[in-house]
Amino acid sequence: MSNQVSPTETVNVPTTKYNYKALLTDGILKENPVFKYMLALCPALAITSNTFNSFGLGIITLIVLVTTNTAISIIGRFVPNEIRIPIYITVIAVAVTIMEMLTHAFMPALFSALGLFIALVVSNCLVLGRAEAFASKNSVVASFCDGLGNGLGFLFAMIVLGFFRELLGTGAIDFDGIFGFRLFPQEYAIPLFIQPMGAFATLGVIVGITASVSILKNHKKTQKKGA
Amino acid sequence: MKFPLKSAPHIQGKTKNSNILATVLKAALFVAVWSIFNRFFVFGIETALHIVFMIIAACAAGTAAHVIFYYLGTLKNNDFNFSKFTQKFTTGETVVTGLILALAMQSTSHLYAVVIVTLFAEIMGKLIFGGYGQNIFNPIAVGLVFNALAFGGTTLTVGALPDIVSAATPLAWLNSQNWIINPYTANNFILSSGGVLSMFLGTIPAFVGAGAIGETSRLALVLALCYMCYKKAADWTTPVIYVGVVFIIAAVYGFFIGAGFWYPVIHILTGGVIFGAVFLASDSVTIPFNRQGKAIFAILLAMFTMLIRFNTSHVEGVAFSIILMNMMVPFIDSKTLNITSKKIGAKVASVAITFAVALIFVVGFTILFS
Amino acid sequence: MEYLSLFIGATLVTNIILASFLGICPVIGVSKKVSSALGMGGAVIFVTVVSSAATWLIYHLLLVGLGLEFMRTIVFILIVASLVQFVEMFMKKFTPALYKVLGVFLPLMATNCAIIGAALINIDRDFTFTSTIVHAFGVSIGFTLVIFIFSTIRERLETSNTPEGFKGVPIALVVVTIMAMGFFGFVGLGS
Repeated sequence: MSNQVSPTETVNVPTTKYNYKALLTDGILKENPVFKYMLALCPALAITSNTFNSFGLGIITLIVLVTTNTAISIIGRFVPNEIRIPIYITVIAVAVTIMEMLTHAFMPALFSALGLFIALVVSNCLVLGRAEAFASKNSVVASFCDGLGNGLGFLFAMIVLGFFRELLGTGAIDFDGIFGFRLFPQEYAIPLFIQPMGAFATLGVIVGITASVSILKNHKKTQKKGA
Repeated sequence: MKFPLKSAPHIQGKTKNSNILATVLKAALFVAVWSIFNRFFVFGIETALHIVFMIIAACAAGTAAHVIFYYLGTLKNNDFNFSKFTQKFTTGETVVTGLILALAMQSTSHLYAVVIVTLFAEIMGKLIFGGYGQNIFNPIAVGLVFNALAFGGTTLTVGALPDIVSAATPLAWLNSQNWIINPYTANNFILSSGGVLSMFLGTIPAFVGAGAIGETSRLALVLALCYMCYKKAADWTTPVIYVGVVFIIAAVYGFFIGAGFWYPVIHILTGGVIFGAVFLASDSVTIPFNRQGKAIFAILLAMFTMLIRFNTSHVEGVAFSIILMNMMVPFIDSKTLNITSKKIGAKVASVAITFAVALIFVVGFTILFS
Repeated sequence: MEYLSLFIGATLVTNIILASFLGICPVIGVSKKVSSALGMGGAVIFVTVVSSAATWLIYHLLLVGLGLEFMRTIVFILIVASLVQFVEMFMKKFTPALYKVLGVFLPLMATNCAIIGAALINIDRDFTFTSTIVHAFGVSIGFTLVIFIFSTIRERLETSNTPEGFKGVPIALVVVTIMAMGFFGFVGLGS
């Protein structure tokens, strides 16, 4: 990762031209915050025991990320440097509390399933990291796109993890009864994947595979260039 | 922290990797054949055949995993070398884990479970770390723990094999297993000390059904260990100290609860202690490097085994303990390898202190929480 | 006696990292060297215990009284963040070497799910003040134990030839998986 910039380091972005398309789409596959930069691992491991929960927390985090990025990019230039972190944290905490209350009101089943992990979005390294590294220094629209891009990447990661864990762990996907399918009978399922250890294993394997694939691609590219 | 920058497996002596593998494989085959015939004589052809299928399934799964990984490894430079590929089969590297793992499972295991467990053990326990000699955790222990966690409460068993023994007749089971096999058994002591009822005092976990296949004959296991030590594929330190300390801890606790001499003897004969000692605790890749480290490893291993056995409802205390101790091996190595050989006193003292602490801790903890 | 049970539960049985996943970021990030792992562990013990005590006090004495329970997320994270800031300043002055080693992960301790998770659990499970302290100690010592063992394993892994794509984080996650499986053996201990 020598020439990659982790989202928690500051990025020197030229002040006028933004590649909005890149900001939006890079975060999903190429620069996925979870699979490539290992951020926000706590929710990625804890909540992804089924697809519905992963989707729910992914959406909540996405909304928080977009709102806080936008808000912090607006107030960023007015905040003194020494107390900027507590200020950002306050903004994030307010957004999270609002989402907490909204979820409790409109989707109580999801609220009780996610438990204190909605509150824990406040300690999500991705949210604070993006605010500190990007939103505080860049324009409102760019920060909005950046938040959306990273949020979508996070959502994508959550869905992938939830999907595999639920499939291997129960043999079926049950998206809160809205839709679902069964791949193989329950007796052949491996409930380990619903548990913590399965989470680590799934994440480790997926991250390893993505890294291996990208190494292989780079290797083929340099081979082609050299030949 | 300084580590010896040699590549694993770290054994004292000049045995080559391939020789170690071959010896372990032969020892495991010996135990397997003995167990199969033993179970055939006691329970019939169905059980024996099922065991054979389990072994074949496990070996096939292991080989498949190795093949896939080798292929994936060649993708980068397109250097698929057919002779290297076949070489893997001749060293026995691909089947060793599967064979021993099958022996460690119960004969009521479904073949699907055997395959999945072997795949997990091989891939997550060995191949992902880089192959033989690079792993931190003993792949067989990884497989066993995975088995306990994933298929622990499963309905996926091969039903009506006559192996399933109800917990109410452990004596009959012991009789049928032990008396043909193990001359130095506690059988006489059990009979003379009141039999079945006294065995339910204390905290012996219920005798789980059939037990591990490889555990059918302790004598076979001990012979296998002797062979491995003779051929320098294993060091006698860890297995012997492990079984010894288990015996002592059980004896001390047995003394406290007023049980007879048979109590510690039962403890070493059940629950996979001897199997673990012979095949899991002797694996030179995942245990400390020098004798002092091995001794400490064995003592703490016994401590965890008894701690888990006495205080939780787990039956696979041995496998969990192996994993827990494998975690500590780098730390143990870093602490024991820096002392020069002149300070024998310090080495012995450290081992003795570990032993005292372990003993007091386990017995004290169990008494406290019982 | 129940405090001992609680302590063992928090340290081993429901280890905050291996069973509850909280605090996994610093484990993966700081654990490459044993010295930094121990340093991080020490800081976490201090911050967790003090913040658990402080948050409990403020919640029960202030927020409940004023009917402001919903503010707990904001208040707790601010307490944790300021404590971390304090630890950072302390380390910068008195242990500059360790400060440098921990680098960006020191302020990131404010986002350490383990610390704030422990504080929230204390409230959710309705602990008394002593239970909170015991629980906080258990959680943070469990954290330090795991990160310490993990760092020794990682130092050893540096010299092995893991497949390239798996070097670093993926293999670390596999190790954590197996560690979690091992710790599962403790389930039922102390009860």
